[in-house]
Amino acid sequence: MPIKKPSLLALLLALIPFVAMCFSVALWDRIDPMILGIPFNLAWLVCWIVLSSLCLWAAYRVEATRSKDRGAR
Amino acid sequence: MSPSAVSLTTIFAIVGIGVVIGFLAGVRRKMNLEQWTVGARGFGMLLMFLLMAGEIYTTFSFLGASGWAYSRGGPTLYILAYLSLGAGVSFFILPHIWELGRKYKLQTQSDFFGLRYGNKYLAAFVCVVGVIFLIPYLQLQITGLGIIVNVASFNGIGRTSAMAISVALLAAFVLASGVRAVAWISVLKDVLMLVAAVSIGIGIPYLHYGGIGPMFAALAQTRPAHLTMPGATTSLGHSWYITTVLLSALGAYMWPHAFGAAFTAKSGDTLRRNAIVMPLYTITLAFILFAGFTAVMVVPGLPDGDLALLTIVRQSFPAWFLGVIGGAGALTAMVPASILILTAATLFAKNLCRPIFAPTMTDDQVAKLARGMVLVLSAISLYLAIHSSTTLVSLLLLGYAGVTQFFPGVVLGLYWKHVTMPGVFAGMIAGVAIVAYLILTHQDPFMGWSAGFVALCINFLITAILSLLTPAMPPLDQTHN
Repeated sequence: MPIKKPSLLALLLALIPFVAMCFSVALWDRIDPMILGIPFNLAWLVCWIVLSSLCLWAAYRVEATRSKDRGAR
Repeated sequence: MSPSAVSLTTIFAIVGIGVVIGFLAGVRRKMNLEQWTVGARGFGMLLMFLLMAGEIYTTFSFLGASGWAYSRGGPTLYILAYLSLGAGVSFFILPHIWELGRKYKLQTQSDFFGLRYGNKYLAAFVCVVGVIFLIPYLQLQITGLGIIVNVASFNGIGRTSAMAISVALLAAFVLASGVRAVAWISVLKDVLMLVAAVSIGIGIPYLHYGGIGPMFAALAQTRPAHLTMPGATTSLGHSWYITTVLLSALGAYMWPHAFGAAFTAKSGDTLRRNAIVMPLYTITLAFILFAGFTAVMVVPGLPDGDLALLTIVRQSFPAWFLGVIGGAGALTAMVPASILILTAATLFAKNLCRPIFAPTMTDDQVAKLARGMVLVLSAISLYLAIHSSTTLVSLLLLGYAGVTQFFPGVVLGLYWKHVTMPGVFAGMIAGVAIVAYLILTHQDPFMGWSAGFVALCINFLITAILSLLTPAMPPLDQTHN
């Protein structure tokens, strides 16, 4: 230890949900416009739950390709 | 049969099925210490997902989240955010923890600190802090069980006796089965929870307002402030939201049981893929919030917000369905509670008693002591649950404030080669002391920030500064070869 560091790209991908769901709260914490009858803040978070899963999947692909490259060398 | 008999019978039938599944999963294996605690490191993707989901989706999310939607409003949204973000954090931490676990035969969080920083007192301190802050989480589950039985019996069974019955059942269950049983009951629990969450989340707004949209429209009309932050509170605004989400996301896998669960995985890759799907699991929470928001208008004026979900279910559906929801809720409390007790008991015996007080103990004796501790911990949590009136969410936030203080030691231990034992030890002591002080003097939130997050920042700072001032530690590979 310390172990191999994750790639910058993977870290950035994982950071996107933090910006969207946490730091930017002041921008989306409101009722209107309602999305499918659901207040905007609640709808925004539900939407980002799915998107954060996608971000992690992308980070996984990045890391997996990287370790494959290293294995080939 | 009276309505209370119908709902109670249904609950006990569901819990009974769960217990049978648990016993069957445990009975065919002869369990040594490693089997009982980490399932011999053989959990694949599916079992792993179930185990982790089983830990994360607890009475807190079921009764607590809807309770806060009812009593606090907007601030409850933090619950939708932090689990997804916590999964992102775990993606970069747990696979490495798992690798070290396999290499050095680690079983607990305290083992990790002992290995990384080579100091048995630090390891013991981690263990003590872990056990102390697991107790509010355990207390939360027991309170939840009490509420379920109490509401389902139409107040026929008092909350205290309801909690006592639940705790006895829980302790018997944990002693008989171990971690594998818990993962398998999660299957039943998850299916039931999914059905329960979706049906009440859609059904309750539909029955009272003709749909989710009309329900929110009515709430936005009558109490618009309730739907945004700070909602019905004065202190839980945006800075509270950001600091609380960060605290909880960083701490989500610092719980001794969640951290320890990483050791049960088959590979580091299992844990990474698990992190990808974990956020999706929290979508069902939105449905539970729908029910909580409906309750604001349908059953106003409840003395305790945590009663909101079950009260509105009782008012909207027949007794047997209340039983199904109650049964799902009961399993949702029992599964995590079993894991919590199991973890705390093992930590106490293996990482506190043996290294500090009785180095000659054999593995079998440790296992016996751990089993004894199951009873002690159950009794303590029951006592606290009977004598407390805190909301379920506040209990969990208290636990998070404590366990997140492990984060600097874990993340710097993995990624920063200059980190030293004195730095981590001092930072952690300061963090825990600040949490204790701010919470006991009722200063949470502190200047609009979550008290645990304030403590975490100071913890990080002290750890970093002292680490740079103290001599560097030899790399692990040299000390352990």
